[in-house]
Amino acid sequence: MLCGTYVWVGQKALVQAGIAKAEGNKLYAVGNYEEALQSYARALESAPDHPSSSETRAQCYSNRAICQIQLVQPTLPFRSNLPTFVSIGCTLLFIQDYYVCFRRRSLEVACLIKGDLNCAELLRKQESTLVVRIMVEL
Amino acid sequence: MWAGSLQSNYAEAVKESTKALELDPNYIKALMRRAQAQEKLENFEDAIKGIV
Repeated sequence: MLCGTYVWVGQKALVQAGIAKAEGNKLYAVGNYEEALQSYARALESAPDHPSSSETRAQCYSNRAICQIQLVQPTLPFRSNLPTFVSIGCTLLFIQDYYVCFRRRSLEVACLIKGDLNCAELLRKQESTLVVRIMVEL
Repeated sequence: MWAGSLQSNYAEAVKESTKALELDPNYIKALMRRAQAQEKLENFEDAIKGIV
C-alpha cells in the first residue's frame, strides 16, 4: 500500500519533470539558452532520484551542457565555433580535414610498405586526432 | 564576454555532460558534447580519451 503510494508520487514527479524538460526544449529551439537552462534545472529538481527517471535526468544534464556551449557560440560569430551544418566555412574545414586525413592514411600505407613502423604509428595517431575533430565538428 | 567567462561555460558543459554520463555511460550525445567542450578548453587528450 505504502509502496504503491510512493510509486504514484514518483510518477507524478516524473511527469512534472517531463513538462519542464519539454519547456526547456522549446526555449532551446528558439535560442533562449539562459531560460532553457532554468527549465532543465527545474526538471532535474522534480525528477525523483530513482532509476525510472534516470533517462530524463541524463537528458536534462546533457541538454544543460549543450546550452552552456551554445551560450558561448554567438559571441564568436566569425570563428569556427559556428555549427558545421549552418556554416559553409566549417563544412569546407571539414572537407579539408577529411582530405588531410585521407592523405595521412596514404602516407601511413606508404610507410608500412617501406617498413617504417614508427612513422606509420605516428601518422596513425595524428589521423585519429583528426577523426576526433571531424566527429566533434559534426 | 571575456575569455574567462567563455572558459567557465565550457567547464560547466563538461560538468553537466559528466553527470549525464554517470547516469548513462553510453549516452552518445553527452559524450560528444563533453568532447566538444573539452576541445574548446584545449583539453585535447581528455576529448580524445572520451570518445575513442
